[in-house]
Amino acid sequence: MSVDPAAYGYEIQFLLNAIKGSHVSQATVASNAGGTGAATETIVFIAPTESYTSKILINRVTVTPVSSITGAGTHWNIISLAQYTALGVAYGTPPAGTYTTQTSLTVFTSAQVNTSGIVLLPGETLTIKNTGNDSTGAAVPGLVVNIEYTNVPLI
Amino acid sequence: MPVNQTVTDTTGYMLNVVQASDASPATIALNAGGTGAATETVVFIAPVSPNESYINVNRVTVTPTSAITGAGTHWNIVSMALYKTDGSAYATPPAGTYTTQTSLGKYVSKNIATATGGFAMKPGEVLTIKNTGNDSTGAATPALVVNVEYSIIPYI
Repeated sequence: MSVDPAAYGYEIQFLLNAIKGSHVSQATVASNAGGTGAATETIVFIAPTESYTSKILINRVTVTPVSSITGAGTHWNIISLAQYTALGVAYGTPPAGTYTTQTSLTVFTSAQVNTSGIVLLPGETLTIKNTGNDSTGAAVPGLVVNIEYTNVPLI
Repeated sequence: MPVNQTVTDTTGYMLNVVQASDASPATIALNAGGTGAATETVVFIAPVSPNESYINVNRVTVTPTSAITGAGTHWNIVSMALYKTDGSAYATPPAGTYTTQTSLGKYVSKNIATATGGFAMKPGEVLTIKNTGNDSTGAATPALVVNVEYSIIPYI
């Protein structure tokens, strides 16, 4: 019996694309005026730990305001991501990318925060917080944070 | 025996229809008498993957965190709304509602998406839930968990 290799190609493609998901969560980004005080940090995703998963690839992280953000050059916040190991230790280099509230964002529209893919090991945690602003900061409405991810299986 | 490529294509398409679900908490504000702004909660955003053509939402269930005792006198109507990627709403929202005149036990789920086969969302579109109607008084509604079951339909 001979088997067309292309058929196996499709099967491999199926495995690689097998698990994808999208997860929304509600986050609060405190003004943290002047960059002083503790930044409010919200957990938005914890990587699942299925036995067949080697890692989680996060393709997109978006923020969606529940009321419009009017970008202003005078006062702003910088919204960033942070990544923690399963033991709660922060990575020295957080995921790349930010959203700055100087850029307007209409209610129910989304802005992508990450500028490259993010790899999480099973059980690791992704958070969002305010990591910088001017001396005053700006009030930020509630944000919906959406995580689009792929479970990369052990093969 | 060679494998028939046409058959493989069909099988691959079927197997690649990925199904998943996403649960999120939602608050249904009283909005008594239909006046005032209805509190609206985003419950799902269709993923944007390079190999998908659209998302099919198969079920949208509401699950109360404490029991709802249906009452004929005062009620809320829980509905869905769908927004395009530019933030504008579709004129016709997804079909189906849950009215709190119907009792619903704690942790019992009810599907409110009643269209046969569910409904489609394009990548990046936003699904919300809110109170769209009630009697003159409305009814306090406990926190709801909204679960969205969906399939990712790939390009083939």
